[in-house]
Amino acid sequence: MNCEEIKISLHDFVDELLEENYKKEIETHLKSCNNCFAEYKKIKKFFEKLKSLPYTIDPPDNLIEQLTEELLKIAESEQREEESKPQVNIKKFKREQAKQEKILKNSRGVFRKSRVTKSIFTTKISAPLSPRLGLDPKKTILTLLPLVLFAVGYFVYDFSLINSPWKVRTITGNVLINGQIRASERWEENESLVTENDSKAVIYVPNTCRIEVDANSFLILNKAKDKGNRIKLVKGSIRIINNNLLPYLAIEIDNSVIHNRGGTIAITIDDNSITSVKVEYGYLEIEEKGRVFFVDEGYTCEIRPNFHSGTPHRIDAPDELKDEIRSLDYEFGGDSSIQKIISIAAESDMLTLLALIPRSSEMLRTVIFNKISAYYPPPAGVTLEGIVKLDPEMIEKWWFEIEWQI
Amino acid sequence: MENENTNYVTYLIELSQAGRKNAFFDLCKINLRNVFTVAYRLYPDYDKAQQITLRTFLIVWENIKAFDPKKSFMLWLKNITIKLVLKELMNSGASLNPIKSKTMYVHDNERIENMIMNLPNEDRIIFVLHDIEGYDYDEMKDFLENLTEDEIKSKLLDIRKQLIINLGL
Repeated sequence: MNCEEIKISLHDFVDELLEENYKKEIETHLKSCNNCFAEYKKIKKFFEKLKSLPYTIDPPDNLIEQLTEELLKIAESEQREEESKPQVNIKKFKREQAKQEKILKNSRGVFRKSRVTKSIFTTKISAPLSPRLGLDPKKTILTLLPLVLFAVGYFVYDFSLINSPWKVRTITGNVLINGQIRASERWEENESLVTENDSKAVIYVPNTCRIEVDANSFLILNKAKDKGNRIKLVKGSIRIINNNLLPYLAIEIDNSVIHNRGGTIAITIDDNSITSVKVEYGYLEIEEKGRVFFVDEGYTCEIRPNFHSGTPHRIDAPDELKDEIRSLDYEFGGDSSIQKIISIAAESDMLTLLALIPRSSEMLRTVIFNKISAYYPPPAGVTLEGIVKLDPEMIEKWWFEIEWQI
Repeated sequence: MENENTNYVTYLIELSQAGRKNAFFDLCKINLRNVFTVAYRLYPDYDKAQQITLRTFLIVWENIKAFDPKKSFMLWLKNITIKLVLKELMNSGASLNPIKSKTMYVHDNERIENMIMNLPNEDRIIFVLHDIEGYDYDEMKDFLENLTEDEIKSKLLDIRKQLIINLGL
């Protein structure tokens, strides 16, 4: 290659687009030609300058606020669109349903088995396994094989989910695992973990989160399995910091189960067995006697023995609101407490009001619906009628709609 | 391109796909600077770049359910931004108003940014996409349909040569 050709190829050389033999040819040329080497150095210097350009440029400060407004507009227009859709023609719907059922009826019965079943019924049995049972061993094995394979596969899968022992790191003092101070600091299924007056520890839940355990705490590891990790907090304080994809950690307390759904949560059980749950970031789900409800970021809730879980409220809610919630939850305040809560509640307390709907009379549900709607109009598919009838899907949908805006 | 999403980003994408708008906001916050930077370098008008950034995220929100979290989310965002910029430039027709050049620059970076922003539209797009955003010629063809790979390459070499001269290297 001559100098002109080299100069043309220099950019490809810098871009690392050349094949090895060309690359070597240019390298050899550059070593012997000062002119081309000077050209190469210019290009190199240019790219060094480009590399020093800032990777990003500061966007305007209000861009996120603008985005929020735009998304709100979209949500509102979606809702209008949903409302303007024509109602389903009930008669037509029923007629179609009847047709569908007729097809189903025709496909059932002894003479209309599925292909597989039919072939089993009609195949001539050539070599019975036992004369009394009249079973073909080959057919029986072939029929049972998928089931056996499925069972074995499931067993292997289930076994692979086991993730114990969990690693425990002592921060200060002594940590007792199953009553002993263990050098290995490993926590196995069905073992207890106790921190003393001055001790603290961190537990690492594989692929899920870490748990900071405060002094005077008592925990039991009930299940150490991916997608099914479960601990019981008997007393003390823990803080859970999620550091992975969808976390699977349930914390049993008294009659409730707290499901960590991502973020950072703190749980404390005091000497009177009163549990306090605080969500610093993300949200969690509390499951209690078949009832499930959410506690959102910046919210807290109390769980007392022999009572339903308390109403979630903002951590920084005014004392007046907190007192009224306590009166409703634990002093049988009833509808009069709910009315006071409705009147005190500010815009940021709408998730508290939403949580009160299942505990209110039908009349008060309408009042709550109207109050929440004034701040956060119900999204498409959520209606007054549905909320008054406590449709769980509608309540959940509205909860998510309010949550992101709060 | 391989998946560059962190576990956290994948997690936020999945939550956004389930309709969680606050997770989507977190995704926006994470990627806001990158998207705005691409928009601004390709369309050097602060207000317009802001509008394009907003529209990018709104398009993403409308289509997020169809997005495969195994693919690079950042690349998807960038591609949408680039397409929006090209559409805007095509609609605006004429070249953009030149960015005022200063007589003195405190830092070389400022001077280079200014030179890039004052390149003609097509040149600027070719240069920013290849030399700053790291797109290869094949990928650039998707955006610059009226140019062949060789034409893009030849234009890029000319732009580089001009910039090298302007920088006094």
